[in-house]
Amino acid sequence: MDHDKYAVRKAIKEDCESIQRLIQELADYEKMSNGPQLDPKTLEQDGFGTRPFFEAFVAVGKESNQIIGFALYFFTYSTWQGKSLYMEDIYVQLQHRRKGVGLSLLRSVSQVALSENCVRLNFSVLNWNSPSIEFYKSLGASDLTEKEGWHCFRMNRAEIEQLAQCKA
Amino acid sequence: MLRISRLRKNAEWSPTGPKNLLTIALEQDGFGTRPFFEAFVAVEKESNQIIGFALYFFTYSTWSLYMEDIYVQLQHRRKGVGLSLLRSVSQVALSENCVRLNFSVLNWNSPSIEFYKSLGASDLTEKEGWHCFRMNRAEIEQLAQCKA
Repeated sequence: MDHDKYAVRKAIKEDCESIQRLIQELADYEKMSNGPQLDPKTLEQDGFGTRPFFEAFVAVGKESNQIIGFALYFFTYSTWQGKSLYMEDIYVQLQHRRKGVGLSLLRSVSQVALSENCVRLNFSVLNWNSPSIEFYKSLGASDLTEKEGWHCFRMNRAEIEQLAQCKA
Repeated sequence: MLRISRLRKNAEWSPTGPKNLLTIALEQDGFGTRPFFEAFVAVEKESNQIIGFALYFFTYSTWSLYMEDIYVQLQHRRKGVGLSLLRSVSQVALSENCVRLNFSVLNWNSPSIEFYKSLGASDLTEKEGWHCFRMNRAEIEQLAQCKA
């Protein structure tokens, strides 16, 4: 990454508006534009309040002083190996790609993983997202869905409510 | 016959005797100054033994809960224990205003897949093409030191 053009730093609460904009851009890229439902204020409370639910790094374009990329993550727990890190989002705006910004963001996240003694860094990728898949595989990441057959399952609010009240 | 309880560090049904490293790590990680997970256990009243558990933690994708493990011993299956554990976890999800309960299942695990689908869960790998990726410690270390 050209350090004259870009800088990667830990996100602060004032970044939430920019982060929320990029979250939407990432959702558009994933063809799931209706996904994001958070406003910057909620992001601020959830990330920088008394009990932070995530942490993030941002990439800033020095010329414009704009945030042009981010990586958002939180800590998880593997019952086999202990503390782990889940990278929920990583995104760099189109015009700033292939310049090492993504790698810089990912490196910052991995340094946090090490400092917290995490044994795993997990994330999800859409199966058609070839540029990203190649990038992650070049860094040694494994596709566990392909390799071991893991599938991601989800229950939404309606199913959770039904389950919480079921006779059991 | 069955009791579902929150996993606590010094419960009456905790293992007695010398603890192995794994148990100590679990204790630190679940009950230290910064808990990394919570869990429910299913206790068979007659034997006072733990015969199943569900372990989960909170994540961030518009308020979610991730269920890392759910397991019931073979001889105690098909008796509603799994449903009871899952129900307890979903009640926590609701009380914390979570909008999603996520978990992973191996694609050959048909009994579990049927169970989850019967409760309305969706297979996002099938439906939307999501794949789970992972970097292990060695890759993380290499990445942390790379020129970037």
